[in-house]
Parts: sequence; C-alpha cells; structure tokens
Amino acid sequence: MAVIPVPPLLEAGHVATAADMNAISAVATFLISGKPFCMAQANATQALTGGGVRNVVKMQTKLFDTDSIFSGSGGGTPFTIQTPGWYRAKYWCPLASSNGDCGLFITTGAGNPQGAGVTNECWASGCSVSSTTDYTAYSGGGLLPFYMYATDQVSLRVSPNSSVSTVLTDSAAGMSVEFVSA
Amino acid sequence: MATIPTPPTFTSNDSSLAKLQSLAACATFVGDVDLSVSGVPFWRLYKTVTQTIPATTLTVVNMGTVAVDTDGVSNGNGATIATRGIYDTTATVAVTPNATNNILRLYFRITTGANNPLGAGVIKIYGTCSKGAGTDTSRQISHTINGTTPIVVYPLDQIQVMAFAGGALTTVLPSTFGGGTGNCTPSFTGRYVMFA
Repeated sequence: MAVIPVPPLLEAGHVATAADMNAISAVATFLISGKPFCMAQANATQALTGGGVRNVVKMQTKLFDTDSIFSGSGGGTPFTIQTPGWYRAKYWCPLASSNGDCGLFITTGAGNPQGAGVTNECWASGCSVSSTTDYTAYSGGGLLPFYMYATDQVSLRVSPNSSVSTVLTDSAAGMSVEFVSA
Repeated sequence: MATIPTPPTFTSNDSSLAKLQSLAACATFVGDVDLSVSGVPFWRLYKTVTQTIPATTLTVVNMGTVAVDTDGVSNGNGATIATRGIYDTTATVAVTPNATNNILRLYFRITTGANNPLGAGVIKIYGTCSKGAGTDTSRQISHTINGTTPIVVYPLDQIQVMAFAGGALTTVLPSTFGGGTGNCTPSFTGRYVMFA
C-alpha cells in the first residue's frame, strides 16, 4: 500500500525543519512518479459466454504497477486496490462481432464499510454490430463513482449476446487504474 | 519539452535557494489547477473542418486545431510527444451514418520515434472502439475512445487518432445537426499521468 504523504502545517513564526521540507518533497515525489497506477493487457484470446453473461476479461500481462494492484494469479483481473482513494479507470476490449455491453465492475472487499461483495457497474459501453466480419470493440472509462477502499476490486466485464472470443487484432484488451485523490 | 523536476532532499538548517526553487518547480509541474502556469503536459486538439474517411482505408483523423497545448505537442494532425511519460488520452469522432450501418473503428496509434528504446517506427495500438455507425442519416453518431498509453512514450513519439470505416463516412462538426451547439466536437485530449 502506498503511503499518502501529508503536507506539513507551517504556521507563522515556525522555523521550517528539514523534516518539514522533506515532507513537502515527498508530496512532489508522490505526485510525479509515486502514485498508485496499474495497467495491464490481455495476451491471448479468451472464449466468452454469450446470452448476457458478464465475463471477466483476463489481463495476463502487467505493463505498469506501482502499488501491487495487479492480481496476476488466475489471469490478471480483477485489479485489487491497495491504497484507499478516488481512482480513474480506462478500458478497451476487442472481440469477435457480437452485439453486447461492456463496463467496469467494482466489487467491494472486506476493507469497505459497505461490507464485502457489493457490486456496481460503471462506464458501460454498448454496441450494435454492423457486420459479422468486422470485429467489435468497446472503449470507456472515467472517474470511478465510489471511494475505493483497500481490497476493493475493479474488473472489466463484457456481456456479448453471442458466445464469441476476444480478439488480438490491432490490439488486445487493456485496462488501467490511476489514483486521483485520497 | 517539459522538464520533469526532481524533488530535493533537505538537511538540517538547509536554506538552499536552489532547493527551494526546485521544490517550487515541482509544485508548478504537478499543480495543474492553472494550465497557464503549470508545466504538466496537457492538450486538447479538435477539428474545425470536416473530413472524409474513405471506405476500408485506415485514415488519420486530423485534429488540426489547438485549444490547449501546454507542451507543444500539436503537429497538425495529432500529437508529437515532447516529455517522456505515461499519458491518458481520449478522443471523440462524430460522423454522419450512410444508411448501411457501416463499421466505424477508432483507436489510438503510437508510432515510436528515434528516442524510444523500442526503436523508431514501432506501432502500438490501444483504446479501440469498433461499432456500427448506424443508419439514421438525420443524426450524427459519435464514438469515443479512451485509453492509457501501453508503453512509456518518449519525445518524438507520435499519437494519432485513427479511423477505419466499412463504407465512406464524413465527420461532422458541432453545428451540423440539432440546432448548433448541442453536438459533440471531434476532439483529442491528452494528459500526463506520471513519469516512468
């Protein structure tokens, strides 16, 4: 879990100490290169169940991860939040031609005051296909609509009408989460 | 090119002006509350002219007009990165359907430059959206793509918005439909996420 640096309170007459100044530097370091951020992509096609089933899209390849958010085992998603805060997430998911829907799913963990297992979908993207030969792809994202707690999970789920597979044409599915604010 | 500031380390009784200025540079860089003074790379490019996307031909969607560009990335059709890092990008392209529900596929394309450790000319694609463009020719259809660069991008790397259409489509501008201001301006935004 990342340590959120706390800017020191410097009052009138206070002689700033090295600790005060280094605390301010720590804030800068956190914002420039230390904030929680994770990005992963799929590295293989994945068979999806149709008929409205919400399939978790596996992301096997970790590209960046500053806070041990990438779960890794079992295929790479869901991402597990380690540092509480507000997060921004983005995704894209190409699959063989099928009408359907795709979005980010938040599942609360034991560290969330709501209790574990509460689910919410956000930033969904729907699709009507134009042909059976062109692949379909969904893209979306934004600020996650809930404050995230340690152990909360974020996954990308796609629910095609037909049982099709993800594709690697042009690019594999990808997803990122970025810490915005404590 | 923005300079990534290095946060200083202070010692006891340290009143180094250089260190304080270095710290101020950090605050300026990350303090994106005022883009006129912030050093953080951020851009919004958009279209002011329509553009035909030919049938079955991968085409650069020209985002040639600058609304905001704090790092000088605009190159007339997309962005040429000036500062190394990871970026978050979003683009919207609106078209007029051609009554046959042709596919409209959009994505971001990175073309690496000479400074990238991968070498020049490497293509990376991300943020793909691929859907039918609809059949109602009285309406515009807008597609939005989102993504985070899947690689660290370096100065001279290019990021462009690419389009592929099953049949020829023409982009539309905000005033084309619906009385003027209610439509979505085709645009391309980028935001520096972090140094890596």
